[in-house]
Amino acid sequence: MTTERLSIAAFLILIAVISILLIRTARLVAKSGDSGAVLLLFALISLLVNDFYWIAYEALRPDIRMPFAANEFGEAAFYLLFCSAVSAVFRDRGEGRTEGIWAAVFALASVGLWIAWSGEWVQDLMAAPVHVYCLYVTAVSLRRGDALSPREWRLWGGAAAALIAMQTAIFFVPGGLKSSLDLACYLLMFSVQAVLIVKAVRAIGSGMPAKTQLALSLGAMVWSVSVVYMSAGYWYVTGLLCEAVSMSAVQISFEREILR
Amino acid sequence: MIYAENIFICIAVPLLISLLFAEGSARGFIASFLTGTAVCLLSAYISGFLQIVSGMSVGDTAVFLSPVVEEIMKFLPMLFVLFIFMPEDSGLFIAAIGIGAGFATFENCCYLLSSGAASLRYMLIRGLAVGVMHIISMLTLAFGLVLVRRVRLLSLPGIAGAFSLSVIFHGLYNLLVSEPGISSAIGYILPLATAALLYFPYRSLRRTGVLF
Repeated sequence: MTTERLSIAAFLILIAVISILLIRTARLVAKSGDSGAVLLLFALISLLVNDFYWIAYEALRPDIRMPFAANEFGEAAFYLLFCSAVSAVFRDRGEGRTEGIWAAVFALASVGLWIAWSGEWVQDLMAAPVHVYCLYVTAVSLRRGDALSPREWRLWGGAAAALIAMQTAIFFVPGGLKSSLDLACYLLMFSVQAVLIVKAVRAIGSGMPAKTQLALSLGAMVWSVSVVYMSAGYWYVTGLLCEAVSMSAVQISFEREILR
Repeated sequence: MIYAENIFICIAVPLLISLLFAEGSARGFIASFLTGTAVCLLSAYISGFLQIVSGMSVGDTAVFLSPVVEEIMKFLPMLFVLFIFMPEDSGLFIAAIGIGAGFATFENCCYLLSSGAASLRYMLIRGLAVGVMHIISMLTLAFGLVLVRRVRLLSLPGIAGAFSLSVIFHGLYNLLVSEPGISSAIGYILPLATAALLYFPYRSLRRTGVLF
């Protein structure tokens, strides 16, 4: 199966997952009447409409590369509404700003790398504030949800710094070393992704506080978004599937937090 | 060629006069409607300018640029209402519906004059699809702003998120109707289907007191 077909299949799986999450969130809204839940519902609708836009574009204009278009706004809508809903859950505690700022620095470095790879200035610069905000909210939520130990914080920070350093180095090293570094980057990104997903799933299964579950799930989801943006081919498809899993974890933990 | 400015004057003058005699929410609606017609005219100028600058075709402009430009132009007066008048939730919805309806009405008038009103099918599409689409995108925006205000006291990301949702909805509609066939049919049904989908949670949220 070609990568393009696989990525369409992954998108269809993502749409199915989002639809199920949408139904669950709609029920949550009906049950709780919570404004945060309605915001989450709107965020999921944005993502669903955005995925439909992609599929419609692929079907209607398969040979024309999409320029700056409305779908950039669709993705932005999802992340902004979603993070607004989540940050409302954690607003009662004040700490975590330092971690948030470091996460924002990582986000800015990532955006710099996207621009260097793709040369798409407008799209990437528009995505930058959204990505920075998302990673800031994630780090603050992880801190306020007491989701990571000091050792895990150091490991996560180290992995993020190593990732940026290696990906920057790819631009300067000769051909043979380039592919090795590229593979090392993928292995590092997906190792962190696997750890975050396992931690989130275990937190949900073991009945940890709902806020901790939510923070860990959010961490896994936002990392998967970064992974998707930084990947190509089969790695990209795997990243999409990780996004589907972690998004489900976020919805489940958010629901638990609201109904708590 | 049509003279859009003349059409605007023709529509705006009676509305301006009626503003002098209307009170309360009726006055708010008329003012919003008038604003909607004005931003439609300005959007046409800006989209036309960007089309020339970018070198895009008319079709590509409608798919890629117009949704963004038009939603930004409708969003700006909403922001003005939100921050200057700080209305209740119901006032925000009235402003959104007025701006959307004014925008759709002016756009429909211009199309009627440029393409004629002989085809009932075309008129139904203009009225039920495009007209409803502008109102739905504005309602979505108002819905989002009300929710953001509830949850986080008007955070910038929340406002931007609500705006972005209206852009992607408009963008999907324009993309679907850009090609003939089944995609157009889906596109024409989309606004009415969304209106039906929005109506039930809207009523339910009003009944449970989540919305005004």
